[in-house]
Amino acid sequence: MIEFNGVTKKFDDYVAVENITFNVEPSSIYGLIGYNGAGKTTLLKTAAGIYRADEGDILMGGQYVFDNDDIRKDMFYIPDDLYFPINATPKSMAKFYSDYYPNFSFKTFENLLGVFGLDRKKRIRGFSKGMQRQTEIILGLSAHPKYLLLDETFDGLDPQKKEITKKLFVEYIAENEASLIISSHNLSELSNLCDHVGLINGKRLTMNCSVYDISQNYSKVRVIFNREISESDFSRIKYKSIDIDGKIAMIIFEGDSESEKAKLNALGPIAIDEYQLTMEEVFLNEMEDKKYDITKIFE
Amino acid sequence: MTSLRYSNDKADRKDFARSLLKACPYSVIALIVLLTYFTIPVIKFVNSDTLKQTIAENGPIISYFGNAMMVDSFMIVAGMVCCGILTAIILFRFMFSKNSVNVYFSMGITRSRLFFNRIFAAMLTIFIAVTVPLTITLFVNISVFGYSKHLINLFFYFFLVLFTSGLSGLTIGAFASTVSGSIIEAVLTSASTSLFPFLFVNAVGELKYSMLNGFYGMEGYTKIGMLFNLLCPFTFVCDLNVERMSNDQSITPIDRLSELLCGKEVPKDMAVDFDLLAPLIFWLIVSMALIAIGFTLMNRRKAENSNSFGKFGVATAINGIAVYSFAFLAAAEPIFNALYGSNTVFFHNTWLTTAVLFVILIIAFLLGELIMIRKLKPTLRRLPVFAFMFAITIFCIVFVSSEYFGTYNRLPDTSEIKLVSMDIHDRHDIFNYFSGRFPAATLEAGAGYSSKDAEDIKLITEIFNSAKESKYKKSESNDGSEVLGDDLYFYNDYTFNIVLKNGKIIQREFVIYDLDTAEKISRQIYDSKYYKNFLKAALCEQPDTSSIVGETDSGDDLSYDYNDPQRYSDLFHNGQFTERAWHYIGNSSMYTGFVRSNEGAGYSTEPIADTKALCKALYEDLIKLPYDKFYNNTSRPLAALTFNDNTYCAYYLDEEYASMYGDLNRKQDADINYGDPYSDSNKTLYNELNKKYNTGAVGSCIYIYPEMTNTIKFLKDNGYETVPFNAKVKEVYYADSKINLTKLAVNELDKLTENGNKNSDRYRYYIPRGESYVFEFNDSFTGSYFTYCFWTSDNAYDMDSSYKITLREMFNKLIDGSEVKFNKITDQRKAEQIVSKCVPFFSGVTGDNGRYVYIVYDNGVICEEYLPSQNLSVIK
Repeated sequence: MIEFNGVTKKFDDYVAVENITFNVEPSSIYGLIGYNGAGKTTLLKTAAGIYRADEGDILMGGQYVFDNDDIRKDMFYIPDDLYFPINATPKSMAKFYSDYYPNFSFKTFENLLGVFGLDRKKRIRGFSKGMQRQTEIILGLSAHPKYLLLDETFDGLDPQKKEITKKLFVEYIAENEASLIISSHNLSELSNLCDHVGLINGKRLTMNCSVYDISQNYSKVRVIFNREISESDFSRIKYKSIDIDGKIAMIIFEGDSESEKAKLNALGPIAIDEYQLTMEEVFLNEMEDKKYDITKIFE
Repeated sequence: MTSLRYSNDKADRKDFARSLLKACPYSVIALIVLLTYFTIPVIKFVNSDTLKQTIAENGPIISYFGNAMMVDSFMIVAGMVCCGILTAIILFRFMFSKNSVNVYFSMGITRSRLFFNRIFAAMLTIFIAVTVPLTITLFVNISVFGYSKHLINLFFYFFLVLFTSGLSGLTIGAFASTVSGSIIEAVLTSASTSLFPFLFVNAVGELKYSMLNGFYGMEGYTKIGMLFNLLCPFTFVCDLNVERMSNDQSITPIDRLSELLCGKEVPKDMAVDFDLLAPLIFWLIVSMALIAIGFTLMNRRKAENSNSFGKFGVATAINGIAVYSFAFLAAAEPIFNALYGSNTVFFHNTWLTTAVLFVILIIAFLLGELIMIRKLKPTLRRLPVFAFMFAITIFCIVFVSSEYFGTYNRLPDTSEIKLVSMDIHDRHDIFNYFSGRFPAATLEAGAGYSSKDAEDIKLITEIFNSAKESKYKKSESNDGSEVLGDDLYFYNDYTFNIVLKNGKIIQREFVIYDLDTAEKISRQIYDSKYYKNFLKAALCEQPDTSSIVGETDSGDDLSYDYNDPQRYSDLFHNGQFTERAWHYIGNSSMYTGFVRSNEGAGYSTEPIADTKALCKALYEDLIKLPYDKFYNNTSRPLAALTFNDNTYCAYYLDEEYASMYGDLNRKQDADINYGDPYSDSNKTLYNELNKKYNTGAVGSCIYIYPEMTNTIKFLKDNGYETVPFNAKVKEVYYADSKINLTKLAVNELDKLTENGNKNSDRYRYYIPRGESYVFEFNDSFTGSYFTYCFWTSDNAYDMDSSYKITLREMFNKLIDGSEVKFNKITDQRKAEQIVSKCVPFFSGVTGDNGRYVYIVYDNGVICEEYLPSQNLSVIK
């Protein structure tokens, strides 16, 4: 299990992340969501032991991570900015990582190269961005870590490779009881991968729940009337957000919404359709709480 | 989390192996260079005829390690330091990229192991690079010369020098890498760190005369100098073939090193000289400390600062201090030079010094920090560093300016002093430094006369304190550039020996550039009972020579023989004055300087018989002669007495040329080695020449003035009369400034040198010498001091059939070729009037603003004399 206990990281006077607390269970994939510059990378680097937390602790398997080789030999961090020496090939990098990761499997490495169709002897610097990322994913999985930290890992992958990668992660986590944290600013990439998500907003973790909880907690209803409607018609109903377009209203409820839906029926709509919220809609809703209206930028 | 505990052994081994591979390139270069410098020359040597020749000339050879360390020591040691620094930066460069830091700092290996694996790997490669060539050299030596302990000593010494140099560079580079965000910053920080010892040693070198006022020239200074060498094995090693070797050219560098390594002579005492090893041990300790600091900082390193410049406080502070220090050295020296005329007067004016240093500090800080950080706000956050540097600067200034600095120069109460003595090297003697001549003025020195008299003790302690207070303050009028050379000043040098009742001996030496203070002290001494007692002891009595054994405050035992005749002997060459061979020199000699080989010079070839009576007469005159009559006499002396019977004599070969400003060989750009002037063969030759040319051998002399009635009576009673000098003055030359022909010739030579001319061109400003003309310029005296090079003005020298010049031609060449206009007086009456006001000694070098006058006699003789400032009215 990976435990974040009140983690704060500052860069001089600038607070990058503040008082972050959450856990990632074994055989679990945790999605870290946040807009650009929210602090996802900082949090992951702190988790990887690259940065030292100014406050709080990060534990893996009950041990402190920072400068602890006992843990780090079972942890693999795939950063957003990849590192390959000038003349490195997938083979030489495999040799390099095998020196530091005792569980590194060349068999897995060869298998995964086959899956992604990469040449082990070619210079990685000659690869495309997506191929370089595939190489790092291959190396990371070949190291057989118990803890995988992935920063914007799907960035640059084509849709086919994304799906393959997702399946690989899911399979790997399930088989090895590993814990995986993956960060992204693209919710759709994580929507069918993670079992838990955390939203970093304003340096803090503003949301931390399972994907199931999200789907249970939010509901979206489309209501069609035979007359023109306005927001005042819904004054007695408690909703999270509403979007009215002539005779049609889209309403999002948070929490138990059955009683509110009953009130909706009392308004006499000609049709009510209920939908499940996508993670992206949840993410945007959370962001709206911060009163950040991008439309106003260009006024 | 910074422990060395480790669980991933395989990763550790592999990381070490990888580091070893990465560390190899620079060590391989070092290995090749060292093989080239050490091993190959030795192999060539032992297989060459040179070995047989060397053994035939110098006897059996114990070992031979080549001359590489002696000849190119700086380059080799600096190369090893650079090798270490570059290796470290190559190994730690992963820390300068955020991308690679992401990998290395998240892998299954601790930062501690990353650090130590690289340090040990680099140490191993440096060790191999050093050991392989030295070991091959060792075995070559053993196979040729056999085993000796001396050989092993040499091996280990060279090993320590080279390995320590490489290790120092490595640890400096590693330390710099741990506190730097980029390669450029690491290189800068390494350079700053490794240059600090040089900087410190240079700064101390600049300040040492001020800081060690009183210790200058004394053993304490040497001891402190050795301490400074601790900081820098590089300069220490370089000293081996620069300063330490310079005294005896016949000793080869390897012989000298052998002596230093083995204490005494090889192979009697095989103890390794600690002085030689101390700086190496010191730097081994420093290296260990740097490793410890680097290790600590590596664990605390903020990975987020990688790929940055100026974000690491330690590196910024080091580089900032380096910039400040270099700016201090670069700017302070010319500023203080401009303010005081000498760079040895840093602490002359505390407030001004502080103000100047503060301005330098601000400029250096702002420039240094802004360049590194490039933003004003973060720069301002560095103010604590600025405050630190400022505090250090102020502390140094206050400390040096305070009473606490110079405690070693405080004398105890006079009641605790048993005995005092002092020597004065007066500015009147400055010329002696160049010529080796000791004129009469030496007598005022006191010549280390020791006294237990309470009044003398009081006087000497007062003078001691005056000399101490004077420090290096230079009076405005003290400008010796025209007669001594650029940036040279007149000075008096005072040496004190204060023997305390508790057995301690305080030895101090003060150099005074303040002529007012020097004059005051000289008058104080001259009029004192101490000086008169000295004259009595020196000229009339056998002084008390009992010894005192004490300990100097530098901790060395010293057997102090006060009033030892040997002390006078050191100064005057041959013991007591009464035991000298005194010769009488007539007035005409003082004009002509025995220049006519067939005319004689009025010199008494037989020494004066009754030296005791002569010295008594001299004593009775000198104690009555007023100070100004002795030092500043502007009238011509009646005659002179010389009291040397041996003097410098040298052979000159074809192709060798001489002048006042040195000797050269036209075909070789090398100094002339005169050999031993006191060798039997030289003495014999000199005596023959002495008789042939009737020149006598003179070095020190006392002028006889009309006031010295007892001496004049003695001379007359003993039949000494002046020989008439018949030559008439033909022409007189003088410039409108105090410049002389020597200086003009030096200027011409400087121009030739600046234009790349070598001896083959420069010799045309020299007077040829040869077997026929063996007189060394010291042979002349009094009025002919500067005229030695004109003494056979009628003759054209024809040494190599290619270069002929008469002395008159040389004279004209200098006078006419000079940018300085010389006044020429041909009216005989006027010329004789000027000559009558000239004096034959060197008031000019004492700071007097008179004129050098060149007198051409109708017999071809050309003399240089001096017209004192008091007599200048004769040419107006």
